[in-house]
Amino acid sequence: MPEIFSPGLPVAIGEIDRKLGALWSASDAGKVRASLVNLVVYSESRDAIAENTPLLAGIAADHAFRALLVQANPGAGKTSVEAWITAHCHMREAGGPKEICSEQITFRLDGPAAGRLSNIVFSHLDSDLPLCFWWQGELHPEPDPQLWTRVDRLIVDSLSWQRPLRQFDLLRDIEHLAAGRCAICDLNWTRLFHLRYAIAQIFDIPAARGKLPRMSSVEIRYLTGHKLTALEILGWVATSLGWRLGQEGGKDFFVRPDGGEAAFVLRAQNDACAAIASIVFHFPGATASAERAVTGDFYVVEFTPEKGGATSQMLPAGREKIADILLSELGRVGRHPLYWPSIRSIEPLLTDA
Amino acid sequence: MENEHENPFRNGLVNRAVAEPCALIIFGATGDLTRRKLIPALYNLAADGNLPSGLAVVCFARRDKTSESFREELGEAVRKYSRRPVNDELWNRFAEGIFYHRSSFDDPAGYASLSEELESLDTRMGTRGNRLFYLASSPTEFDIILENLRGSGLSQAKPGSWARIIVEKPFGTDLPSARRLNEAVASAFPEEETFRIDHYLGKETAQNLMVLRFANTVFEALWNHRYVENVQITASEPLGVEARAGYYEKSGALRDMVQNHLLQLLCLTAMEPPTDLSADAVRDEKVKVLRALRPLTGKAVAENVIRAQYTDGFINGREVPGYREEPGVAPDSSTETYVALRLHIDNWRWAGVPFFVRVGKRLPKSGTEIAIQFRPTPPVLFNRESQLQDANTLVIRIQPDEGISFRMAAKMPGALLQIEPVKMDFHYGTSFGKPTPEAYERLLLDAMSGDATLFARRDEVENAWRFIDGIRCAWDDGAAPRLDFYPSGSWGPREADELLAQDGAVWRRL
Repeated sequence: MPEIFSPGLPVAIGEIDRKLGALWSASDAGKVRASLVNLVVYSESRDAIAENTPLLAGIAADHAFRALLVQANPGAGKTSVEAWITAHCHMREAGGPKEICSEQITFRLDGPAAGRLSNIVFSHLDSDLPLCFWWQGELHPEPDPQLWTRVDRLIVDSLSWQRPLRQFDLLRDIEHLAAGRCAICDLNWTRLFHLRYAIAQIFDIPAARGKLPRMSSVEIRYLTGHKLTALEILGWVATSLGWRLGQEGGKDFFVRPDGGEAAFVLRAQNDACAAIASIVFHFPGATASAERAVTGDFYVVEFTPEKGGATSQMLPAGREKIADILLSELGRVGRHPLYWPSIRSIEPLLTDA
Repeated sequence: MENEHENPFRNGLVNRAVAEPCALIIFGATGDLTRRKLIPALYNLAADGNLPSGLAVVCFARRDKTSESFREELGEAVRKYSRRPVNDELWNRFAEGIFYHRSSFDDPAGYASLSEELESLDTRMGTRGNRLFYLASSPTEFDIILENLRGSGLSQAKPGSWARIIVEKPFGTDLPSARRLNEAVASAFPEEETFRIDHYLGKETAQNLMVLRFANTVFEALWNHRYVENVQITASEPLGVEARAGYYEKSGALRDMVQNHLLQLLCLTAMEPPTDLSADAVRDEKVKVLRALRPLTGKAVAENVIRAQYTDGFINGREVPGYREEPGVAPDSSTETYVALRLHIDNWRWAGVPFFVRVGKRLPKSGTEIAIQFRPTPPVLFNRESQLQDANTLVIRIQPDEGISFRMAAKMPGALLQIEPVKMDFHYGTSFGKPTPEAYERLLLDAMSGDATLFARRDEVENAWRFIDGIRCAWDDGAAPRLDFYPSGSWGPREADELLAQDGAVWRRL
């Protein structure tokens, strides 16, 4: 493993708390340990530690945590558990020379040890802080009730799923198992936060809002590989407007509350500048759009009625790096009430690979 | 869609009121407030995507400028004062919505042309007939501006639109002038459309005070005379009078800081839980605190108020002149640069609990905080010989380094039973990485969305002045106290320490 991605000081599994204490007492007085959340990152990728350690270091500057980074390799022949500890420190911008530090405990679980995930996690949480669990990749078919009933926030990224239909089912199973205790957060949904906000802003204009019941079509351009992202925004539009999916002659469309049809077009684009490059709403005699600016993290939103008087505004688009999206999710409280209705509205359009 | 007037895409998206399209008309727009605070705040709101789709900023002032030249000036100001780096593309687009309207405040023709310009902006910028007037001029101009707004019909909202006014402090200089101002405002705008701005209330920690008290079980249970020994509210700054001598000579610390900022903090600290979070429910409770403040008049002023003025001394090792040697200050000035007060709130909750309030210039450190000093434990067990000198203290830091700390007693490690105070500390900056918005951002947004919770209501202002006037009156009558002096760089006059000593208390060291 290259040194730059070092997960820190190797420690015996039973020594973690003591070694962490020693790490802090050895550090200078200008360092302050801070934590808002227990953030567990679970991955079965071989590069999980190398990829996630710098990502966590970046997040620590904006959202203090105790991170448990778990790289599991359930298929390994022999059982082994390795652990490392490290701290991510950042200078505080104002108010003195202190460095603010977040802790990271890294585990590599091989073979049957990977099945001891709950135990490993529960043994190393910072008490009383919320538990956010970021499961990277595909969920396991047999949800662990002991784990999921104690997680406050389960974070996934549906964009990474090969079999989204199956995965959405598993996600529902977990939510059911947790009996409402665990909030489900899909980073692919979070990825769309700024776009949803931008779209909402267009329709604050009464003239644009007045057109909504007669929307004739939606056109979405997305970066190749982000079809599920495009479908999720489409699902959100459909849910917000009370549309239901219809099909006739092999053609999919939405049925508006007034019985009219609203078509949709999804266009993949290899050179799109963002996951969703643009969304255009067509109405009889008017269009509304949100287009990602090529430079800068902004959407340009416009409403163009038939008889001139176009309105235009720039709105923040947020960054698309996974660390920024995760930060955005961590910085938000509460649940995502429109997530499941939106997924349900486009589920018939999904296929598992 | 359940209601065609509601935006269906807003469902589940934001849990706060959305700012409505409007024209923001700033009177006295060439002043410092616009450059340093208002335009940077608006730019940051734009960068956060919090501005409405239709917003025009009309800068009303006397100087000869064009919209283009003024935009350039403001661009420089934003680059200097914005809390985040400026994105040129966003600024340029935002600046397209800024217009300069040249007129003197007393020229009816200037208001007539303003009216025409606003009509035109309704079409061009989608401001929908909504008007948000901002009095950022000198208070001496307020009357004539209000008169012209009324005379021109601009203060009258069109059907389906609104017309609001934001009034910058000072809200008068005493009760009669505050009443006059309030009357002048009321003659043009109804109270529910009047937003009196006190930027202290827009600060995150001030907003957090209610959350701390009413969203946590532990504090509210202890928040009364049974457990609280005293409350200390401090606003200190190392700065002297700087370039404000003209204003400060007339106002002094009592009018400049206590009447508004510190009494607002006192109200938030002492008020009862409101019945809901509506603007009037919160402000009703604040007014009750002001009404319950034991009046200070005549002899009571001498017994409970210390006023003082800084003399020469040292700030951060640098020699600084005394107040009377400052440019623009009378050599025999009796203006107070420091005030310490012992206040009592005569209600059930706070009976017998002194509230010590102090404010001063040229003090060693900059800081505004509220400290709740809890009663000591009974003199048994660990406190048998009163060895626990430091009782529990909860400190809410308003600025800088916003946060909350709690001091408690802990046993020192070792065979001896030695008890020492330790501090639990919460820093906004440490815990929440994202930058704190400026107070003006929040307040402008609230005014655009019609939420007056963080603005002072007429009766709040008048009750605060009624209380302050009692003190001023005693001073003016020579009924004492005399003016004391303190060297720059010290924590104020000895007499202020003695005031607390009478209650067995000491000022907190910031």
